[in-house]
Amino acid sequence: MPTSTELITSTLTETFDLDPAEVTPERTFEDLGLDSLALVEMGLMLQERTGISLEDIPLTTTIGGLAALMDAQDADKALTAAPNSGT
Amino acid sequence: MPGQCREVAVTGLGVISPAGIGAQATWDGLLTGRSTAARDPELAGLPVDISCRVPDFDTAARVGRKAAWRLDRFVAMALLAARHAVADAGLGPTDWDAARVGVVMGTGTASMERYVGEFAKLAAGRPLDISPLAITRSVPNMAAAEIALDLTVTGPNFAVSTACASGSSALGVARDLLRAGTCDIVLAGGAESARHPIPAACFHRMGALSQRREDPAGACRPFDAGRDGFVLSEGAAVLVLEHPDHARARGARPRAHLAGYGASCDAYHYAAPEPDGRGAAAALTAALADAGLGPGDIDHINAHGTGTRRNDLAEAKALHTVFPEPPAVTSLKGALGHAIGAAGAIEAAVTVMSLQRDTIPPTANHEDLDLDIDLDIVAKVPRTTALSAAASLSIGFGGQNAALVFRSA
Repeated sequence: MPTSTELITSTLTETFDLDPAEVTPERTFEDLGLDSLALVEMGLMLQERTGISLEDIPLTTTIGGLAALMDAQDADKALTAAPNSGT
Repeated sequence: MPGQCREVAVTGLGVISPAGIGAQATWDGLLTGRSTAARDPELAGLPVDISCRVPDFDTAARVGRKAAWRLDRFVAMALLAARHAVADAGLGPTDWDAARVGVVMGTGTASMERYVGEFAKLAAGRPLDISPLAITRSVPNMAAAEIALDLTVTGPNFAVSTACASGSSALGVARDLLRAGTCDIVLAGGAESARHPIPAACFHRMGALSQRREDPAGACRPFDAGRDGFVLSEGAAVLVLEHPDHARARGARPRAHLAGYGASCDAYHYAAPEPDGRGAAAALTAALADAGLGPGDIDHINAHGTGTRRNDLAEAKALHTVFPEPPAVTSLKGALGHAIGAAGAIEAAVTVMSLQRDTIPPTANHEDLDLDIDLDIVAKVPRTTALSAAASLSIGFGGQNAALVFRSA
């Protein structure tokens, strides 16, 4: 299973033709040349891949920051899902 | 700055069609006389599941990933056709004043390719999941806008929409920008990719599509006694139209001249053509007058020829109205299907190539002439004959007609 950082990186490199070497955790989406609409579009692609809803991501977010946000939401989802998992 | 002119030079062609990617590939495919129609997996489960597809058109591979993510298929095809046309014309950014380069692109349905998915999100109560690009990917003006972004040309830039006549209308309007001295160059044509479930179901319910799903390659039969409708298609064509003074000054050799344009509306029915072809005849007559030519000067007609019962009969009547003896006629739709808003532009580009090569491509699937039509249809094999002027006719839903007259260079 790919990590959140790997998912973001592959979405960026496959969709926006970015050089994988450029896509490092400390870079912001603004640094990478995305505009606000491209970022929303990328968020929808990530949502399709992971089921995690990502709304209103600022362009100044770093890749590492978004990965942390996704991991936190994923954990929340797991916690929410857990009580029902055995029923 | 060039002044007014009567006719304009065609200095470049870009064609993306089911017969191939490129003007030459399209021409070569047409000369075989074979249809490109086949079963379409994207239409599986529909009553009519055949179409003509542009082969090997992967958007990212063809136009580059930098732009591909935001482009629907009709825009990507328009962009590639424009790049081809500009290269064919030997033009580059140092050859033009960007503010005097216009782009006029026709489209009929624009793009519905992603709407099925977007509507599903809405129906599932997920409005926040609708793509922010649902509009910019699909609206009619984006083909022209993306071409301008790609080539950094900043002159007049807009879409023209007259349904199945859109590509021809765009060329006529573009010609007017040059004739008036507003632009030095206009990249003009049409783009469409309507072979998606909604248009396919809609055209089927209108009774416009051929039902020959067991014999896709024999489905669209223009002017044939056994015709039963068209096959949905896709593609794009862009012509570089250039003011003759501008073309001369840079030493460009025109492929042909766009000498006349005529337009009309039947004002008869929202979908069906006027049965006697009066509107189409009026557009043709106006185009001839605009070109300063008489019916006897036209050597060839590249017809709309959709292969529907009504269109072909009305169009034949129009040709008999305008021409005491109609010249040799071909329809590309037997081979390429009906690319709606791109059709007129693809047909205009092929008309230009016919004039250059003194050759008329055959009408695929035309075997038994409908006796009520009584035209000289070029069929089975190409016809080689001296061509000095030719007309291309387009007829759209809404009764909108456009005719173009080209003259050999």
